[in-house]
Amino acid sequence: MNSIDHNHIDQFDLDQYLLGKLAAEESAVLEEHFVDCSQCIHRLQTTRDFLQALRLVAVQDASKAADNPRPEMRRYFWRTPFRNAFAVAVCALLAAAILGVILAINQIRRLRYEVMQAQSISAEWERRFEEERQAALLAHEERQGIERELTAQLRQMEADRQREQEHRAVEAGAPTALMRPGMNVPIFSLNAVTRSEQGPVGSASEVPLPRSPTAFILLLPLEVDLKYEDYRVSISDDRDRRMWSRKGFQPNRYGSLSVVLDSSSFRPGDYLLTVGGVTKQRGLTPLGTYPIRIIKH
Amino acid sequence: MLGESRAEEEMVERYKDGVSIIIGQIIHSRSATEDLSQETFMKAITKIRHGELREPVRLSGFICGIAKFLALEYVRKGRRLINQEEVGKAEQIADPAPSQLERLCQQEKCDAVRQVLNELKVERDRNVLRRYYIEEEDKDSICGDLGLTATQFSRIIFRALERYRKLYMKHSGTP
Repeated sequence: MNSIDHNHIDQFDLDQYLLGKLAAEESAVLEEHFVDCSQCIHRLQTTRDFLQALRLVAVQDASKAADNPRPEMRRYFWRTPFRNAFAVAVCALLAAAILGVILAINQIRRLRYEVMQAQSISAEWERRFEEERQAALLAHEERQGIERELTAQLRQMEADRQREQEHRAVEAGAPTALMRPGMNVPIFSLNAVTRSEQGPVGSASEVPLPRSPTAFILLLPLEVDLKYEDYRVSISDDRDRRMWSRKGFQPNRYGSLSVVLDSSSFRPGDYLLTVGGVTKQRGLTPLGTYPIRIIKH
Repeated sequence: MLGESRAEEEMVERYKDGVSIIIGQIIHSRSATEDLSQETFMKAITKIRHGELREPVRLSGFICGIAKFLALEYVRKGRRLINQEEVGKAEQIADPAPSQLERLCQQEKCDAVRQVLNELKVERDRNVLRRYYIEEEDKDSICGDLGLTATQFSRIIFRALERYRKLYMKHSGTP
């Protein structure tokens, strides 16, 4: 009788015995059984032969690999689980590379878009700046023009004010240069010119005056019928701006109008005196023009 | 006497393979194993004739004990020779190199194993055999790593061994 039942012995027990992994007591019990069991002996022999041959094959393969390492190493490598790890690593690297490329492309696109946006914004700001600079220049020029115009208006208003003061003084009886008793008052007799004669430089009558303020008299001979109720005399400067105008003139017995003026109201230059006749029916009728050139010495 | 001789022959025939396996587990030399097997049976027969086997039902254990004792004694003797540098007695140790016939048998077994390995379609099965028989890893560890149940594991081993057995028998002409 064997100490253990044959049915209780499996391949794993036999393997463990051949691999020397059983305890001494377990080995003794198993040996006591299989030494008299042809089936177990047969299985043990087969397993032992397979085990020895398997180890020998491994040794032979290792020896071949040592002699010719590259193909054997490659074969061993591809037969081992490292193949899967290698494949996973390669896939991971590829995935990482692709992901990196995609991210880089996206980053480049985003940066390019931002650069374009920045350029667009910069161009917009540049355009606005240029517009504002142009607007500032225009405003500056306009302001200068307005200043010039205001200055001219101020001067004109100043002159008007002065004339108005003189006029008021005359009306109020205040002694002005015109009203003050004088001597050696220059009298200039002017000649009327027609429209065709007007314009050339040589046609104006020269009126030489001293630089110090003084009164002077202009005689305006009328070369028309004296049928008008009243006469008006106006003075304009060379820019055709009216400086002075007065009605109520009456011709003397020689058919001339006399106008007393203050030299301080005139600067050297060309002026034009215009005489018109006034009737109730027809209003003002131009009768003649008298160009003069004020010269101060 | 004739009956005893026949009984002794039957005993040798019945136990020789088992005794060879037991001794072969301790001594990895085929010639030494054969010598020690013969010595085992000589000692066993002598002891039996002297009536040292008191319980016949314990014959298997009796023979196993003698075989293991002799194998261990052989190993101890070999160590003593090496330790004491008794070069003069070196010829008592059998040449461990296999004979030409043994090499031929080994090559046949290797060819069968290679064929078994090549016929395995799943790399996992090759891994099981390698880790279990060559690297001597624990069965549970292998099953855990490869996601195998104990039944699947045993089936892989069984099929490989069966295929090997058939191939080897076919190559060697064994019925």
